[in-house]
Formats: sequence, C-alpha cells, structure tokens
Amino acid sequence: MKAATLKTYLDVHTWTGLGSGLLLFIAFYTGALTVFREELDAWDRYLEPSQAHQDYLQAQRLLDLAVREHTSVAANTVRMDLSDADHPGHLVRWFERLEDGSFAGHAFRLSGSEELEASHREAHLAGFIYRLHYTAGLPESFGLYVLGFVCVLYGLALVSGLLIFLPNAMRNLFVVRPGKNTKRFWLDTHNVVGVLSLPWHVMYAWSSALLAIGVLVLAPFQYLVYENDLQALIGAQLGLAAGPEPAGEQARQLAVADLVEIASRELPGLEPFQLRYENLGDANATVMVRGVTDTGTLSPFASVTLKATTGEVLHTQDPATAEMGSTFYSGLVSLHFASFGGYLARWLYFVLGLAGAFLFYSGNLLWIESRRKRRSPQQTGGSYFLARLNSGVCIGCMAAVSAAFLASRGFAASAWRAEMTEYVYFGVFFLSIAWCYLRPVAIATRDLLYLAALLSAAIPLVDLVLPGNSTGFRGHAAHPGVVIVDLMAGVAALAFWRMGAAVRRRALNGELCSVWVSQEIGRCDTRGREVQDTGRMGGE
Amino acid sequence: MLARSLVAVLLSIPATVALLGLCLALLPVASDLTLPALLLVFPVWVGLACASYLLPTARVAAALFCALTVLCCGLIALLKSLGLSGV
Repeated sequence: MKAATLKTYLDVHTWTGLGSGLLLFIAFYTGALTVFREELDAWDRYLEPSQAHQDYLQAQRLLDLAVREHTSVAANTVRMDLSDADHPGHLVRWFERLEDGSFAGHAFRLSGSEELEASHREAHLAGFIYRLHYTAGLPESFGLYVLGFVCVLYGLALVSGLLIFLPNAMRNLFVVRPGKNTKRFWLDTHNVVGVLSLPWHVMYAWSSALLAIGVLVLAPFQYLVYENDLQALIGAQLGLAAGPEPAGEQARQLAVADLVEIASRELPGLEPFQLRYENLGDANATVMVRGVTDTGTLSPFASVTLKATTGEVLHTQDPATAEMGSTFYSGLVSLHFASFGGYLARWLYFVLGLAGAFLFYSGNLLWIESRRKRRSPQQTGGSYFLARLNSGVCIGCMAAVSAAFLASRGFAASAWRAEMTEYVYFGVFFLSIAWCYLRPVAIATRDLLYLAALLSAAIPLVDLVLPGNSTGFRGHAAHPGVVIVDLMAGVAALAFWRMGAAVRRRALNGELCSVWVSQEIGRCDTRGREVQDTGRMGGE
Repeated sequence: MLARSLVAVLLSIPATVALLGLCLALLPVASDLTLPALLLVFPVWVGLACASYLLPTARVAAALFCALTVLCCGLIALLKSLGLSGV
C-alpha cells in the first residue's frame, strides 16, 4: 500500500475514532453491563417482597380487569408478560397514544387480592442502563438514531484501522511493548485488542446499525425498487406480520390458557413468555404467542400468531424451519444480544464489551500521545481538551453508573426512585466532566478513578449494611444474581483503585512534558526530562 | 478531511441504495433472500464510504457519488418501464 494511501486511512481512522469514540465508550461499557440484565434486575429488586407465581387463569383475570378499567387498551398493542421463575407474577402493559402525539405507558399486575395494581416489569436500573447503551444518555427521541449513524462511523474506523494494520500485521499481531515509550504501549494494546476482537466488532457495527437505523435505511428501497409492498415481502421475516384490519365489532376472545395451548400444539416445545394482542376485543383481533424453543439454532425465539376469537393459526415463526431471511436477521439480532450459549457466551461478551470500551479510550490516549511535545512543558490546546474530555466522559460514565446503583438502592422506598437514579447518574457524569476542566487533567483523572472505586466498593457494602436488610450473607446466597453484581462491583472497585494509583504515579514520577504530569516544570530534553528547575510546585 | 468525510458518509447513502437497488432489479433473488440482500446495505455503505477516500478530492468523490446515484436510479426506472425489473 502506498504511503499516501496509508496516511489517508490513518487520518480516516483517527477522525472517525475521535468522532465516535466517546459515545461508543458509553455504549460498550453499559452494553457490557447489560449482558447481565437479569442479574441487574434481580439486584435492584431483591429487597422488594417477591410475588408468587401465577397461572393462566390469573393471566386472564388480569387482562379482563385491564380491559374493563382502561378504555385505551383496545386501541393499542397490548403485551402480557407471563409469569416465570425470574419474574413471578403476570404483567400487562401497553402504550397509549395521546392527543398531542406523545405516548403514555401503562403497566399493571394482579395483586394478592386479585385486584389491578400499577407496576413495572423490571425495576428501573436495568432498563436505564440498557437505555444508556442505545442512546449514550442522549434524549431517547433521537439518541437511538444518532448512535445508529455513529455505528456507521464505527464501521469506517474498523475498515480503516484494518487497512492501516495490515502492512505490518504479521510482525505486530501479538506484540505489546510496555516501557518508557507510552505511545508505543498504547498503540500495541490498541492493535492487539482491536485486531483479535475484529470479527466481534464487525458483527456489532453491523447489527447495531441495523437495529438503530435499519428501518430508515431500508425505507428508500420501497419507493425506489419495489413495486409491491416491501413490508409484505419481508415483514414476516422481521417479525412484523400484518394482521387483518379491525372489523369494528366486539367479539369474545379465547382464554389465555386456550391460546397458549393452541400455540404449544402448533409449535411443540414452545415455552411461551409473552402474548401480544392487536385490536384486543375486536372480531379480527390477533394474538402473537412469543416464546423460546430449544432448536439448537442461534436464535431461540419463536412465535405463533393466532386469531384471538377462533384460535386459527395465521403465522408461525420457528427458527428450526425459518426462511433464509428470517434466519439471517434473527441470527444477527441473537449475536447482538448474546441470546445463545448461556453464561459462557455472556461472560465472553462482557469481557469483549469492556475490551471494546478500552479500545475507544486507548484510541483517544494514543492521539494525545502522538501529539505530545516532548521538549515543551506546555502541550497543545487540543491535547488538553481531548484529555479532559476523554477522562471526564469515560471515567465519569463509569463512576456515574456506580452512583446510579447506589441511588437506586438508596431511594428504593421512594416514589421518585426512577427519577432520582437518573438525576444522580447525570449529575455525577456532568460534574465529572466539569471536574476535569477545573483541575489539572492528571489530578482530575486520578480523582475520578478513586471516586469510581469508592462508589463501586459501596455497592456490595450497601447490600450488607442497609437498615432493614436482615438477610446478610445468607440472603445473598439465595440470590445468585445479587452475588454476581456485588462480586463484579468489588472487582471493579479494585481495578479503578489500581488505575487511579497508576495515574498518580505517572503524574508524580512519569515522563515530564506531558498532559499527564502534575508538576510545574521547566524545559525538557528529548527524553522528557527536566533540564532547568524553574520552581517545582511539588506534589499535589 | 471534514469535507471528504461528510461526502464519504452522507453522499454514499443514496449511492448505496441506488447501487444495491440496481443489483436487486437486475438479479432477481428468491423472496427469502430479499432480506439478507437488503441487509447488505450497511457493509456496502461502509465499503463505498471507505473507497471514496482513494479519490483525490472531496469534489471528485461527491461528483462520482452523484453520478453513480443518478445512473443507477435511471437504470432502475428504465428497467421498470420496460418491464424487465426483477422485483
């Protein structure tokens, strides 16, 4: 490859990395945590009184009560999340479209006395971290689309990065050279992590863009190419099979138990977890019975769509016999969500997710090191700016997530629990960025890492000492999800503390003439050593 | 670099849709392969955007993308009007 071409793609990789790296760090860090969404939810809810498992008769009663007491049910898609071991108790939920075009969410459970009571499928924390994953904290109305386009930049960064690396691939593939040359160390680690996890990153760039902006990008084909309805052609493969139009007349629907039985007969081995009603109560109402099957394919999800009044089977989606399009799409989605492979796959995804976050963080550090003025104590404005932003956003995000855990536990009894969790996250996040601009960047980075360590260490401590929690260690053993979260929080605290100590050492004793130094110095020689003592401030 | 990147990322979208659309119109695929073919829009988009950096300037890249888009759209329209479209 010509040197000019290599330089061009180095610039492409640099700028796409800088342009997308910070948002992708947040997406990858929170995404890594979201791999254990069930465990996060269990941790967040474990002080709540647990519900008893409920049967299909109770599911029917819940549905009947919701229809009787809320007129908005029939006009919207209604989901009935069935009771299971992880989420005992049925939940019925729907979004009501309001006159101003916005949506109001409704969710109800059946109380112990079998009355309707407002509820949520999951405690807020897991859903909030998941939302951070696909919006990076941006408003939900456009955050998903921004992340979708960022994933395209991510794809550009991957291709350009590979093109840069290829000429020296065999020589540098497993090379990591720690030492005084910091830039080389960051470059080596960035290359090793990036290249070895490249297939996983390609899958993520593709699947993330598809999930975020797939509909937007596919829409032009409908008008440009397809004379027939594109949705009719591929809708079923995307799980969007269109049902019959509403008849406008009321009709009795089959009971939940009957619908589940028909679906299970149609698809033996189906373990249903959700019923999705369209036009509930109408003569043409349909219900999609969604569940999982053990077919040995990448995607375990299956569904049977029935006419709700007669039980007539309208459509079946079985991964074992699905069309190529459906298999391809659901396979890509399953790869994205790690819906296969059990705990082994989830731990692998967790590690790769954190490694991916490291990739973006280290890329920014590499840019800063590449532009270090080795003979001047004063670095460029761009270097300081990016160093502050990189530390503030990345380390601030990690500290803020830990703070959100504590807020969710601390406000567990409050009606404002969900709001306070978010306020605490964004408060810590933005204050972290501000701190990096108020203090020397090396000191601020150290401070944020220590803060993240303290907040993370507090997570398991809160579980054990919170007033009213009398379960202690014995209670932990009964909740494996809680144990996983607390253990990982402890490991994270240790890691953050060590990183903070390393930043402190670098600030005090590392190479001078760098943004990462905390002392005032004079002129530096070519090795970054001070050659003229101009009144060292000393220490911190 | 900013101009080239804007051209690469933004103008490659219509070019990708037009190019992939022409391929679908010329080479009819079985209905169950339609979705996988459409999902190639993302790799093709990234590929075209990356390839545009090989061109000497942003203007040349923009001109090329516009020409490709117009040409492919024109061919699709022609195929449809002649009843030769595979979709």
